[in-house]
Amino acid sequence: MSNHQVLEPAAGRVAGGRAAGARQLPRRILESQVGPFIGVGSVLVILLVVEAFVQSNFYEPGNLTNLGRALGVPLVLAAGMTLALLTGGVDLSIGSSLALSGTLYAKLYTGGTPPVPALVICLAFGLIVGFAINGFLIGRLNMSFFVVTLGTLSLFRGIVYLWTNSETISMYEDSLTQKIGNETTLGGHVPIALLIAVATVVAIYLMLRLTTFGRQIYAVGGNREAARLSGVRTDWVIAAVYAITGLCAALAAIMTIGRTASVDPKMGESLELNAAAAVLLGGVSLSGGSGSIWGAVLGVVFLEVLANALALAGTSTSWQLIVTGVILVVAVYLDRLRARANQG
Amino acid sequence: MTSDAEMQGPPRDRAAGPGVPPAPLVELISIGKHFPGVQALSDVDLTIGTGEIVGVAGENGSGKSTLMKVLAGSYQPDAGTVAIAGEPVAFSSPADALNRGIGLVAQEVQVHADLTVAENLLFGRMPRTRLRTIRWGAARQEAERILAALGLRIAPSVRLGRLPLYQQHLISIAKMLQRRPRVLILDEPTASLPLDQVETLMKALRALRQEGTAVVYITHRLREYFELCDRLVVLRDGAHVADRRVAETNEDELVELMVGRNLSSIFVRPADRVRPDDAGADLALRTSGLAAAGKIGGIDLAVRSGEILGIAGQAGSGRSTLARALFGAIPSKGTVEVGGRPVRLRSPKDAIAAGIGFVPDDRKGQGLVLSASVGENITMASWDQMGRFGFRDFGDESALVRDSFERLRIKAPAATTCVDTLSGGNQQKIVIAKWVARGLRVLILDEPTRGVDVGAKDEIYRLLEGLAARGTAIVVCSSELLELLRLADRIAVMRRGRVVGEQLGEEATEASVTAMAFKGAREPEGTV
Repeated sequence: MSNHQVLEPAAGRVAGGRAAGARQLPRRILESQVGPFIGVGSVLVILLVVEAFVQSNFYEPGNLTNLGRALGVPLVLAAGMTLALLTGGVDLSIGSSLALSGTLYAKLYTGGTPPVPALVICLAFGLIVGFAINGFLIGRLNMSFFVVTLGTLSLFRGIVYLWTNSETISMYEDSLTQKIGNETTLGGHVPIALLIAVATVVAIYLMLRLTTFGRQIYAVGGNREAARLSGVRTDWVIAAVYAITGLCAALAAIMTIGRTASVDPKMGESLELNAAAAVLLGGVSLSGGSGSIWGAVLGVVFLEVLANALALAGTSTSWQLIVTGVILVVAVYLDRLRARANQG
Repeated sequence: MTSDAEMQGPPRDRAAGPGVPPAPLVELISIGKHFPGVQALSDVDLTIGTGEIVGVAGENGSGKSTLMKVLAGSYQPDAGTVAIAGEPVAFSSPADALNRGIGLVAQEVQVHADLTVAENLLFGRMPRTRLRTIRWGAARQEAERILAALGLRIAPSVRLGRLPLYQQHLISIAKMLQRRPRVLILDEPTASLPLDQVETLMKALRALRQEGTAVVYITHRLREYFELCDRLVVLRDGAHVADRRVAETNEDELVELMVGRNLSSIFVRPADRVRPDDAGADLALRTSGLAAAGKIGGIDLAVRSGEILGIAGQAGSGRSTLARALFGAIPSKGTVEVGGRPVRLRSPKDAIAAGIGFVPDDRKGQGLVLSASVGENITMASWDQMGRFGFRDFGDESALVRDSFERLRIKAPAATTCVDTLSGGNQQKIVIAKWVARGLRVLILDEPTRGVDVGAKDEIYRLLEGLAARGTAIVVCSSELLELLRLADRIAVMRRGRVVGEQLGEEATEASVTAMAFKGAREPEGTV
C-alpha cells in the first residue's frame, strides 16, 4: 500500500469477484476503472476521426473556437449535476435556476448596478436559492429530489416569466458578460467561457478528491443511513450540493447572457436534461455513490462534438434532439449493465 | 400436508418397495464450481434420501450456498453430476429444478412487498372467475387454509411489506411449500426468526418429513442442526469434509469440522477476564428514565469503563431501539451521561462527539457504504478529526487504515478494495474498525456477529474483550444468548421495552436469562 493510493474510492471490483466467467471480457472492462469511459470514449474518438475525413471544416480554427465556446455552459452545468448525481439525486431545476439568476443579473444591470457587483450578487443568489430551497427541502426535510426539483423547475420558470413580462431583455451594452461568454483570449482562439468551465471542473474535481466534503458526497450517495450513523451531517452535505448546482447554474447564466447578448425568458430551457444525459453518459451512477467528474466531462464533450458535427452537416434541430434522446437511453442502459455486472 | 400421489415427477422415483433401502432421491456427485479467482466447490458429494432432513454446515464462504444454488438450478456445475433417482439431469434454471421437484428458499427474502399475503401465497394461480377477474373471497379462504396448516397467525389481506421481515420470510417458505417440492432447500430460514417461530417452523418441517419430503437445511445456529436434522454434511473451503448421522456427532465436533481446528471454547468465558471493580472504574455511560419511539421506557443503566454490558431479550423487546437511542439515531427522552457529564443526543453526530460508537445490526443497510472502499469505510467516522480546513490528510488516513488492518486482523486485498467483495466477518470487523480508529469511550453493538462465521465470531469476541481491557465501555445487544454469556460482565434482560432484570455474567445461565426474557419475573438466584 503506497501512501497516497490507500484511500482512492473503490476501484471497481478486485479480482476474485463472485460471478464473472471467463467469457465475460466485456463485463470485466465494464467493471474496471476505465469502464465507464470506454463506451462513450471510443465513440467520441471514432466521431473525431470520421470528421477528419468527412467534414474538413470541422477542424478549422473558427469551428474549434465555436465548439469551445459552446462547451462552456454545458460543462459548468454538468459539473454541478455530477455532484447531485453522486449523492443519488438529480437537480432538474438548473435550467430554470439559470434563467432566474440571469434575469436577476439583467434587472440589476438595467437598474444601474455596475456589472461586477451585479455578477457577484447573481452568483450568490444562485448559491443561496439552491441551498435554501432545493437543499433545505431535499436534505433537511428528506423530500424526494425528483418532486422538489421538478417543482422548482416550474416555480423558477414561472417567476422568470412574471419578472420579465415574458419579454427578452437586450444586454448588448454589457461588456462584462460579453467578455465571459463570447470573447476569446490567448491569441484569439481560446474562448474565455471554456477556460472558466475548465477551472470549474478542476475545482470540483479537487474538492471531490482532496476535501472531506468531497468524500462525504460519495458516502451519502452510497448509503445515506450508513453515512449518517458515521457522524456525517447528511442533511448539510445534500443541501450544500444543491447550493453548488445553483451556483453553477448562475455562472452558466452569465455565460449564456454573454453569448446571446440578451436575457430571454426561455433561456436555459431543458438544459437540465442535457446535463443529466452527459453525466450519465460519463458513467456516473444514477443510484449515487460512484462515478467521476471526468466521465461527465467526456459526456459533455461527446454531446457537443456530436451537435457541432450534425450542425455542420446541416442536420435539423429535430434530428439533433432525436439523436440526443437515443444516446441518453443508451447511456442509462450502459449504467444498468454496469450495475448488473457489479452485483454479480 | 401433501400425499405421495400429488408429488411431481416420474413415478419410478417412488418405486422403492418395503424392505428395500430407499433409493437416494437426489444425488450430487463430485460437484465442482469455479468462479474467477475462486474454486467455490471441488469434488463435493451430497446425497438426499426421501423423507430425510439433511443439514449442510460450514463457515461463510465454505460453499454451502453455492452448492444449494447448484442443486436448485441457479448455477450450472463445472464438474460432477446431479442425479434424480439415479438419473443424471442438468437444470437450465431454478424454474426447471422446481418443475422437477427441487425448491430453494434463499436467504434473501423474495417476496412481492406491495401485494397482499394471499397474493404472494397464491402467486400465479389466483382463483379467477370466467371473466378472468380475481375471486378475492376464494383467494382469502385458500390463503387462510395454507396459513392455518402451517400454524401461522397472519391475516391474508395484509400487504406483505407491512409485516416484519421474519414473517415475510415465513410467507416465502409457505409459498414454496405450495409447489409441493420433493426436496425443499432452506438457506438460513431462522436467521431473523424469533424463538417461538423457530419452533413453529421446525414442527412444520418435521411434518413434511413424515410425508416423505426431503429437506436440506442451513443455519448459523448450530443447535438447530441437532434439534432437527437426521444427517449432517460439513463443507470447508469448498470441499466435503464430513457426512455424519446427527446421533453420532455433537456440537463441539461439528464446530471442529467446520473450522478445521478446535474452537469449542469460543463460547467459554476467558478465564483471565477480570470484571472491572465496581468502586474503582469510573462510570462511562449512565442513563436514567431513557425512553424512545414509544417502544422503550424507564431505562436505567450504568456501564463502567472496561465493562461489557449485555442486553438480552426476545425479538421486539426493545434491544435494538435501546441501542439506537443510546447513539442518538432515534429521538429519545430522559437523561444520558457519558463520563459523568450529561449529553444531549439529538443526532449520531452528538453521540460521536461524546465518545459513543455504534455498530448497527444491519451491516449492509446501515453499517457500510458498500460502493466505497475498505479504507473509506474505516476512516468515515474520523473524517472530521483528520486534515485541516476541510482538506484531507492522506498520510494520516492511510496510517489509520494500516493500523486498523493490523489491529483488527482485517483480511482484504487492499485498502482500495470495494467492501462489498469481503466476507461477512471482515465486513463486520470494518464496521468495528471505524470506531476503534476514532477512539471512543463507549461502543454500542447491535447483533455484533449476525451472519458471521464461527472463526470470525471468535476474533470479534477477542477484539471486544481487548477493547474493554483498554478501558472502553461496551454494550452488546444480542439475540444469541451464548454470545452474551461469553462476553458480558453483566446481562440486563429486556421485555416489552423495559429492563426486567439484571445478572452478573458469570452467574447467568441460558435458563435464567430466558426465564426473565419470557416471564419478566425475577429469578431467585443472582438477580442484582
